[in-house]
Formats: sequence, structure tokens, C-alpha cells
Amino acid sequence: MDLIELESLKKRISNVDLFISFCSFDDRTFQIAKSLPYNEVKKALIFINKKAPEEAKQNLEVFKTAFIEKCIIEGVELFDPIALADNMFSSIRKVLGENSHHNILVDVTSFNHESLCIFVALSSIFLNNNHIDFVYCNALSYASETEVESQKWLSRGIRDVRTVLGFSGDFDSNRETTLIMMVGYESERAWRIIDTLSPDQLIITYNDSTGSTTEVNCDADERYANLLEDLAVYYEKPDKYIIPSNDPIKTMNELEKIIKCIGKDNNIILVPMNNKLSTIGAAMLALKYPEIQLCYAPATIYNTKYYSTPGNRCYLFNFMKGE
Amino acid sequence: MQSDKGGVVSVNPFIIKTPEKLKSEEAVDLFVDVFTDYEKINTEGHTFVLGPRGIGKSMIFRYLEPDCQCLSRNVKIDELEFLGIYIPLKNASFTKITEIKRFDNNASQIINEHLMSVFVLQMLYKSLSKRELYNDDEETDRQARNYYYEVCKQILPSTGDLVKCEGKKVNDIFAELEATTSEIYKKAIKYIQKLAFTKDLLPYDDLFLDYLDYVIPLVKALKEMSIFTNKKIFFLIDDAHFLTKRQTYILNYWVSTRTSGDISLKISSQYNYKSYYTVNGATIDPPHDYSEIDMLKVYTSKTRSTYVRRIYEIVGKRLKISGIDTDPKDFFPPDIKQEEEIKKISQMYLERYDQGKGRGNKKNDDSIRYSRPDFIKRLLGGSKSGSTYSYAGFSQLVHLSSGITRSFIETAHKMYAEEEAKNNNGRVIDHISASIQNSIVRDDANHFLFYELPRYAGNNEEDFEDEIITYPEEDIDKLFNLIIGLGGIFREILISDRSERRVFSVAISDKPSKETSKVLNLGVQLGYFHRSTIGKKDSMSGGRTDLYILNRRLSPIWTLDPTSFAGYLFVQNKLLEEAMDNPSSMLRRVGKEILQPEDKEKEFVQLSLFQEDNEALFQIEMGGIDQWI
Repeated sequence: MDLIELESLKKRISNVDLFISFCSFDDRTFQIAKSLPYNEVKKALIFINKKAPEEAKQNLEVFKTAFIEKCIIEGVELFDPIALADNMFSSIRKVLGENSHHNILVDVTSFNHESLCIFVALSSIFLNNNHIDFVYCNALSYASETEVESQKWLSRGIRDVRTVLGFSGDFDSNRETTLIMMVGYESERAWRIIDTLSPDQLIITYNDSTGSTTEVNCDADERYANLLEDLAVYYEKPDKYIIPSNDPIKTMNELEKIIKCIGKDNNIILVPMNNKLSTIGAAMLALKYPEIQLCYAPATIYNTKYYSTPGNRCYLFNFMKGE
Repeated sequence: MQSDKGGVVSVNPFIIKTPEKLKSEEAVDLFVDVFTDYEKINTEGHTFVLGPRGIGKSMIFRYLEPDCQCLSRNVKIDELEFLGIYIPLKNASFTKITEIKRFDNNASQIINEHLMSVFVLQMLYKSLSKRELYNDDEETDRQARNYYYEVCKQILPSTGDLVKCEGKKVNDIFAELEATTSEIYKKAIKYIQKLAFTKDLLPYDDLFLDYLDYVIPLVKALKEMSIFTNKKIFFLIDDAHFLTKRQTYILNYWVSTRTSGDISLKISSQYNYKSYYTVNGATIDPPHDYSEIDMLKVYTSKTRSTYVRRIYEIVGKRLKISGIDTDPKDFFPPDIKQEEEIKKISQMYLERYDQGKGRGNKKNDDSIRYSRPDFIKRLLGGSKSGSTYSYAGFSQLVHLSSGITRSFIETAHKMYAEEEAKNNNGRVIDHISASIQNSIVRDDANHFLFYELPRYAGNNEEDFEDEIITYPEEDIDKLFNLIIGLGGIFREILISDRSERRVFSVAISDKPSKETSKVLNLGVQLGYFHRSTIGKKDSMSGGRTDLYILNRRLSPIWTLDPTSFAGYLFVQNKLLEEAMDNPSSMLRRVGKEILQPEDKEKEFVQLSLFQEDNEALFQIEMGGIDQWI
């Protein structure tokens, strides 16, 4: 895992057969694309939600400008994970063919947690003979570009809770269920998920400032306290663990310690809601322990106006080597 | 990995455990009898039990399970009138496994019905596998073995090698059946999981079970055991709103088969049950196919006093279990100074009646109607803030929970935690201070309207197989405006000099537009209104119309009196439409008219009272309640 300045990315990246990114509604979505050396990228495959908001459609123009004739736009059904998986896989195959040993660079910044986990599974199963690097642009802060308190939110509500495609785990209704909730800044969304799943045991993980990728630790403590206040009705004392979210391997290793403590007698549901690096760590853990179930709950609404402010750094991670 | 698990604290008596996780002793201890209100729940016939989250549906189902029934009646299973098989769907994996949506229509129906059938059988056998349900009886054990060998072997050939059951007790045999069905279920899930990243359907080499050919015959065979002969069997399917649309069609099909003589399906759901269509495209309809219970109607109807009594019992039990020897009304004391002031006003009205100056028919009519509103009006007087009115006191808290048990318990939990944090000092908490009660319910009201309601707004995309429901932002905005508008009107009425000032509900005197109906329905679905019915105003032909009652949890926002049930408002549709678009403008205009003397009352706002018999009943009920609170 390397932490580098965005402006240094040009010097660092070379010989990319395929750059993959997901175009979303905030400005962070194109920071990596803008920072890549044009001549070192042969093809760029940009996914975008077919029902994306106007802001995302505008951001797509930045990708087109960055890669010109190399840019392939692929509309995907973000709300239909099966169609999403099929679409992502077929479009990658279309570009790369059946051949392997390609250099693939994936900007994971704007994948949502579900699509990222699915991508990790696809990579592990079908693209494992390629060299895959993940790159992630950090956020300077979340929902901080407004002074209005009522505008400081990332998402509201949840639509439903579903298993992540490929990660439905080994779930036995006779066993007790432990939910590991990897909390980020969306405490209200996290609470709705916990309320819906009503596990027997609840474990909350979060990162402190040393394990954070965010440059400004925006309101984290307060939101975290709010979450606990809501939770308390069901769980008098949920176990809490500090887990770094700036390195997928560290995240995976720390989570592994927790699941070993839980043992094999419980169903384990893992809900990654922290940043995308920690989500990769969660997906890698679930690939290693297929009995773990990953769950995802799409938000009812996202704060497209004040979501995140791009940071100046990026994290580069070799997925196949795990470093 | 650092754990920051905190130190030991005393256990909050209002902690909520989901009923399915309760041990039979806990469930029996905590349960408060409700069957006089919902008699169709434990009688033969399919029944839908509808109600918002937290009203107590799951608790009722849990209590109907054989272990709780045996414990509470101190009998064994052979003496029970019915077997209630609890089937919680909240955490059933088949309701949320994404891969299941790989299947097209026909295959989807087959695999979903298979999973549902196996799951209900698994729950049936799990429920019957508890040792304490049975007397030691060799004949019962023998019949159970026969059931296992002779019936299951034929109906479930997929089980492969049957476990030898010689010498096993009846409960162990059912445990074997539970394990068997569990294996079949897991096998189907594993098959589905293989389809995560392939479009090609793989062969499935086992039987597909269904309801009519497998579940019903298995239950019929079960009834041949002498301990189950002539027993009614209830499948208590809890939280059916978690089913996918396809699974909902299948369940409705089960209902439509009219096999309630073999199995009565008792289906609980929140108001967002996905469909009443079956797999065949037909609908299921009450009363032919099923009966329906709306649990909230108990609170919004004449029998609401039972709700107060029920909360009193629930709180009493929880306090007792936690070792707190305090009456609920003492645990949640009112603001003493405020109540004394209200009592003075009440006394004044009683004296006026004696002087022949009363407006009501009975001596205490005016005292009940006006003393609390007068007090609130006095507080509102200069500043119009009204914030000094206290919502403390058991009675007010019960009414603020608006018929939803969990709403009371959750609020009480927060109050206890706050009391512990602020005033504990190592002492046993034997009451919650009035200031903390008031502060928590005021925060809760604001949170409910200003924070929770906007979160329902979505972009109304056509989601994955139409499974997901979001609401257009425009509709949420209109609902928000309507609530603000009506709350404002109710407040104006409360501080007016009208004969009835305690108004909390509204009915439409003409025809509601589609827009109004849509927004009101949304309000009911999201819990901001309760729906009841009343006689139509000025109707020559009689008939009834919908009455929309504002959730009393919102009372503190406008300093309304939550204990009132007496008045309701007949309005024309255009007034509600105006409120939905611009509540401030509507309030400015209507507010002045409300303050006019009643003979100048305009057509579009007509204040009515419940019929006299209802009003009389109300008073009788309140008298009854007062004995409790």
C-alpha cells in the first residue's frame, strides 16, 4: 500500500492496459483520471449508473476529455446487482478479450460499497491472471463545505437490506447472528441496517485518526455518539473496535482477529460502510471465509450537493499481491 | 485491534429484545394479554395482522408458541387448543439473498415456493422439538417415530438416509426433522449461491417442495398423532413485508387455497405489504379469503383505554423484573406545579357548573374539556412559545406514544439513560424527573418530523424488480406541509374560545382529490397519521368516511394536549390542498377565522364533536383509566 500525492501519480503510473473507474456525482470521482499520464493508459472503461443524477452526467465529460478516443462509457444498473455484475464483467471481457496478464488499474473511489465488493469477487474469480492495482483518492472531508447544520449529511434512510452478490455466506437461522458494522460517517444509515437485521450480538468497528484516509476528521465523534445513543435501546453495550481504514490488508487482518473470537457457532454478517479501502479489506476477508455474509443497504437519498471534498492524496494497492 | 468496551452499568429496564430472541419465561413474564382486542388472532381462519413497527405484533406471535402457551397455562402440549408455529421472516436468508433473482418467472416461483415450504416446515419441527412440551409417554414416542418413518420417508425422499429413531423421544424426533429440513433448505441456498456470476441455470437434483402437495399433507399427518388430534394449527408468519414481491404472491396463493381447516395462516406485516395478488394473477380479498386486524385501530377507537392499561402493565412488569418497586405512575411523575395549576382551573369549572354557568351536560364536562387547554393557552399567552408546558407524567407519555408500545418503551429507555447519566450518583433510579421526561419527548417530536420524515424522500427510480419503495421528494414535501398546516390549525383551535378545543384529527367533508388521498395515504403508511372512520357529515344516506388522526408523538411541536380525543375537524379538500402547497398562507387565513365566534364559522372549517354517546363513553373510559393512572 503506497500513499502518494495526486500530483505524483503521473510519474508513478505506466503501461496500463485498462483503467477502470466509476463516474459518480461528486468531484472526487475524476481526480485520479485527471492525474493519470494520458500516454500510459491504453483504454479507459468508465461505468456510470444509467439513472445517475445530472451531476454525474456532467462529471462524465471530464473523463471523456481526459481519455478522448480511449474512453469507453458503459451504463450500468446500479440498483440491480445481478445486471450490474453481468454488465461489468462482459464489458471488461469485451475490452480485454480472453487473454490474461494485463495491467489493470481500478479507481475504486466512486464505486459504491456493493459494486466494489462485486468487483473484488469478479477480479478474484475471473481476472486472477492479471495484474490488478486499486487506487483510491482520499477525501479532504465529508459534508463540510456548508456551514448549515441541516445540510451536513451524506445519505438518508435505507431502501432495503440485501446480501452482496457472491457473498451471501453460510446463514443458519438456528444459529445466533453477530453483525459487524463497519461504521463510517453515515451513522443514521448504519442504525437503520442494525435495526432491520436485529442481530443477537453487535460489533461496531470504526477508525481513529491514525487509521483514517480523511484529512479533516469531520464530526466523526459526534455522529458516532449519535449512533450509539440510538443503538442503546437494543444493545446495552455493543463491542467496539478501532480498525484502520487506510490499508485493506490491515483492515482484513484486524477483522480476522474479531471473527476468530466470535467462533464458528454464529452467523456472521459484515456490513462495510467505512471508506472503500476498508470495503476491499472486508471483501477480501469474506473471500477467505465464505461463511461470512456481506450485506448492503442502498440509501434512500444521497447528499449530492455536499458529499465530499477531494483530498490531495491517493492510495495505491496491488490487489493480487495484497500489498 | 483495540476494544473500548465500557464499564459495568445497571441494566436499563426498558431495553428492547426482539420477541423471537426471548426465552419462554421472559416472553411469558413480559406479555400482557391482548386477545380480547384481537380475538381473530387465535381462532381458526387466515388473518392479516397489520400495524406499524413496534406495536407488538411479534410479541403476540411469540406468546402463541407452544412453549409459552404451555408455560403460561401450566400444561403440556396435548392440552393446548392450538399449535402456534412462529415463523419469523426478518432474518430468513431467502428473503434477502440477492442471487435468487437470477431466476426467471417460472423457475423463480418454483425455487421460492420450495424455500418457503421447507422453511415453514423447519420452523414447525423446531417449535415441536422442545422437551418440556411433552409428558413422558412411550405411545407418543412411537407415533412420532411412525410419523417420521412412514410419512416423511414418502413425502421427503430427498432426505436420503433416514436417521434411526428407535428409542428416541418425541422431541428428539422432531429435532431430527428440523435438522433434515434444515439440510434441504441449505442445499437449495447453496444451489442458488452458485448462480452468483453465471447466467446458466445449473441442474438441481432434488425434489422441489410446495405448499399443497407437501406442507399440507405433512401437517395433516401430524394431526394423526393422538396428542395433536383436532388441534388447530396456526402458522404465525411474522414481518411478511420482508418478503420479495414474488414471495408475497406465493404466500397470497397459500391464503387463496382456503386450507385454513388444516393450517390457519396468521400473517403480520407493517402497512407496506407488497401486494395482495397471487401467483395466478387473482387477488385475495377479505372477508372471503382472510380477515384483517389493524392493531392501531384499537388505539384510535373506543377501546383505547385498554392501551393505557396495557402500557401500565407492561411498564409495571419491566420495573418489577429490574427490581424497581415503583408504580409506573410514580416512576413517571408529572410536573407537580403544573398539575396543581391545572387542578385549580378544573375546580373553577366545577364551581361554575354548580353556579349554572357550565357549557357541558355533565358536571365535569367543562373541567375535562377546558382545564388543560386553558392552562396551555395561558402559557402561550405572551410569548406564544409554549415551551414551558411540561409533557411529563405517565398519562401524557402513554398518549404521546400514540398506540405504539415500542414508541413508549424507546422513549422511556432514553429517559432512563439520561436520568442515569445526570442524576444517578450511585442511587437506585426510582423515578424519572419531570424535566428529563419533557426534554426527551420534545426532542423526539422534533426528530420524528424534521429529521425522520425527509429521509424517506428518494428519487423514485424503478428499482431492482420493483422491490424497493421510495417516495418522491415532492410527495414528502407535501406531507410535511400538510402536517405543519394541520398542527398549526389544531394549535389555533386549542387556544381559541371554541366549545371544543382539543382537536387532533381531520375528515374531508367533500371528495378528496387524488393528490390529497395520495399524500394522506403516505402519511398513514409512514406513521404520521392513523386512519379511522366516522359517520359522514350531513349525509342523508348515512355511511362513513375516513378520519385522519395526527400522531400524538408530534404534539410538543405545537404544544397540543395529547390526552384529547374529543374533537375532530371536517374540512373541504381544497383546504388540505392549500396546506400541502403553502401551510403558512393557509394558517394566516384560516387562523383568523378559527378565532371568530362560532356562529361566523366558515363552510370549509367545521368543527364537530363526537356523537354524544361516544363522548359519554369517553368520559366513562377516562374515569376507568384514572383508576389506573
